[in-house]
Amino acid sequence: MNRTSDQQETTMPDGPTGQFDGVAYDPAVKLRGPGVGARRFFLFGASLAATAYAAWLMADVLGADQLTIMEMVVVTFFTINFAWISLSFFTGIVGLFLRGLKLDAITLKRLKPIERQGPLRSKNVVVIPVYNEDPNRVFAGLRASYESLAATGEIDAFDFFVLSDTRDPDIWIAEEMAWAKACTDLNARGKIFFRRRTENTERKSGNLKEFCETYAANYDHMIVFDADSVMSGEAMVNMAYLMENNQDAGIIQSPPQPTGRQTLFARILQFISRVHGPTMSAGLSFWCMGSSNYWGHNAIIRVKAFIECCGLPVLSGKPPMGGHILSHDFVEAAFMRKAGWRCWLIPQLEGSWEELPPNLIDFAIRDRRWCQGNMQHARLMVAPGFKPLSRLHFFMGVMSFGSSPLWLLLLLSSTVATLQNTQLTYSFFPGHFTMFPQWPVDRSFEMLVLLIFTIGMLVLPKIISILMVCLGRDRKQYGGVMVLASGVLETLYSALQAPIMMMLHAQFVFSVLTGNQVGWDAQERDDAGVPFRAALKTHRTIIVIGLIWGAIAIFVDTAFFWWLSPILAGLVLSPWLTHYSSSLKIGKAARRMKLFVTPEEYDSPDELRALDRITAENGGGDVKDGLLRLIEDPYANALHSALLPTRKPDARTGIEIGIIYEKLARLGIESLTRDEKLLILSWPVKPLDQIMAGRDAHAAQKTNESS
Amino acid sequence: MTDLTFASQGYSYAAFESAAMTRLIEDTARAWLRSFGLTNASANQRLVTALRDALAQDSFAANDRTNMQDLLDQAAHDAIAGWFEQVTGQHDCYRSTAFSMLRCAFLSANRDGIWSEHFLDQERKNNDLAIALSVQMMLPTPSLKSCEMPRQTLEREAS
Repeated sequence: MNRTSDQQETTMPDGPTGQFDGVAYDPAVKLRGPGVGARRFFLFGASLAATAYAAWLMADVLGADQLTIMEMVVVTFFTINFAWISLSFFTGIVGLFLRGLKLDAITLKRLKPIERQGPLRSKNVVVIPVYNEDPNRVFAGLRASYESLAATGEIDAFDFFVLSDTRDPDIWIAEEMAWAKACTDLNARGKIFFRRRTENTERKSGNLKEFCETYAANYDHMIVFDADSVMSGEAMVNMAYLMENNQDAGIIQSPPQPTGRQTLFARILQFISRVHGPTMSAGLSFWCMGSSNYWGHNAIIRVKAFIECCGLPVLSGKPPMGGHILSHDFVEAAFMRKAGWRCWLIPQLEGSWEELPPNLIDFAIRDRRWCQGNMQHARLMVAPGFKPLSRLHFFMGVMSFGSSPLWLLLLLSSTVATLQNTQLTYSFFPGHFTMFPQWPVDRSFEMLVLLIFTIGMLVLPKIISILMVCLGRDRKQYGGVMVLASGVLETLYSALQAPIMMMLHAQFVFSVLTGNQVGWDAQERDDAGVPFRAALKTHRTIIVIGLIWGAIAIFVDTAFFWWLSPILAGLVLSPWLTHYSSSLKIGKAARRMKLFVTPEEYDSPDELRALDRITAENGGGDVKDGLLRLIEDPYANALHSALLPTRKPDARTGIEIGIIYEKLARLGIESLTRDEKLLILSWPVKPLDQIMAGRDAHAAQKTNESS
Repeated sequence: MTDLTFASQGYSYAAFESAAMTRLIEDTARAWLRSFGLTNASANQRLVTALRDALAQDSFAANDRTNMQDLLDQAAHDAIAGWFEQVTGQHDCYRSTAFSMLRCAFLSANRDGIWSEHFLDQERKNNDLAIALSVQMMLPTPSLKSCEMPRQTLEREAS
């Protein structure tokens, strides 16, 4: 395999089946760009310079009268946090320039749509790993994407594969039925496949690994979907075309746009992701180039490369920091890079969507899962062999959660430092003998500069993104002039939400570092609201902390209290914020007021309209009573038998199954536990008359024995 | 004297069938037909005959109801799989997965009952049914192409 670097022109590795040899590549879609080193030098240089300036300013402000130890701690935490903000700021600024000038982030040439020079030559598969997800939603997404792909005329170059890890018996059966229905309705027998793993070791990465070791080698590329992903046919074909014409590309990531949720919380996030997300994607793509990251879904992967170099290691030690790698996507991208393959983020790949959790609590639950995975990356950051940018991605992953406790420590140390300062009496003649007193220095102007500088770095790119949309031609798609009001409200909301997330993330990091593990649950994908009581219960600790902290701040210094008040307001108001932002009613009302409108809502693309249509057609498709369905419905029964692996139960299992059937015959389905259902579903299920006949036989046998 | 001896001497199996056995055969046939979505009388008769023929050709412990049920189920499975083999021209209809897939296909194709009369009828030409089954056949997975995905190590650089 050829090792490459971003600066080098390289020999291209062969395609997986070698069928691309001798075929001319389309130079118009070549993923190459000038000045990779200069881009990174600028970005990191500017970030470092800004951080150094901010740190100096902070030290100057705090150390006007000499730095105490606690003030030094404050400066340290501030500098680390600022470096994080600064990198994000300059990424945003670069992204804004690229968007404003309509430049391609990679080639730095004028942006233009991908024009394919012929049909696809590769064989591709869309894989959808699922675990206890709503089958109606999964297959609606699949069908919408399939229909869109069929409309491009390139459907022959694609197969679809649902990779089920589901452990809920009812969902398992519903998945099978939904698969059969999709095959029939779309006339896609032999195009849409389904397989369920008997053992779900290593979660999602294990699911994909098992696919890679069994069926993936039939394909050149795989597009990985999440359970809630939808992609346009054009996007998928373009991704495959890019892969064909960039033979050293291991992964091409599209930037998925969150869409489809109606709660206020989700609509705010959808809005800002749609407005500001492209800015950040363009900025990231600009400096990452072929060392971009992989986000786990809505990306195309070269199968050969993935099989060769993405078998994940098991980390030494026990979970949560050891064991199987949970956040696999970053690590897979790092291994790709390590082996010389390139990973690209293509910001202009539109037609890629995903869904967000509907409320703050579900969002936090997802973050808790991600936190454990990302904290494992701290160990990978120092592992040998990875490229520097892969290490940076790991660091960014860690910091996406680690920055919260650092911020909290910064605020706490500021509180302690202020408390200390109020206890001190000012000494006009400190230490050495002098003729002249040392007057207190007023640093309020520098403090104001620092405050504006920090807040500016935090929000300026976002504000410019909003203004760009507001002044752009397509502002109507974002609610017209109401985009400004949406922007202001979003900024307010995110300011209040930030301290809540800070506390939650700090709690998650602490929980991971003290050895607590997280389970594996499906994400909530309904527009579920959070009752006020539930929000209060979840946030009670945060409220208490906020109140105590506020009382201390008032005691220390009223000015300091007002300084902290945005943080304290977020903490104390957290249950109200969580409850009202989860409201579907308020979300819809905001939509009517043209607040937080996205282009997907204004003029829904065909794929999302198809998704809504299919979801409505199958609305509430039954995912209950799976076992009962198999017992009563011959078709479901036959289908289930056909999808089971060919094997025979051993003697012990056979006896266990017999006992469960007898329990079923005598006490009914309700008497069976989930594990019992799973056990009998793991083998061909007897129809009702056979189950009842079994009961009769046992009854007769017992009668004979007793007589 | 075994059932096989009776059969070889020209006696029909049915002549010696007990009422309990008759009921068991009919219940089994009905259950199997129901699993194909059928209530058709002639199909039922054909399956009952197939079961009797199978029993007549085999020996079993007459009072072992569990064994007999298994035997009848196996006989029904083989009779139907044999018929599928004849209809489709495929040779792997006996395997459980293939058999279940054919059952699915038959249930889909026979939703409006047009193939009920054909079920287990060896005399009919079933070309149209074969086409209908092939149209309805599901394919859960493509061909297996096994390979190993080696675990990477964090100890040294990839070679």
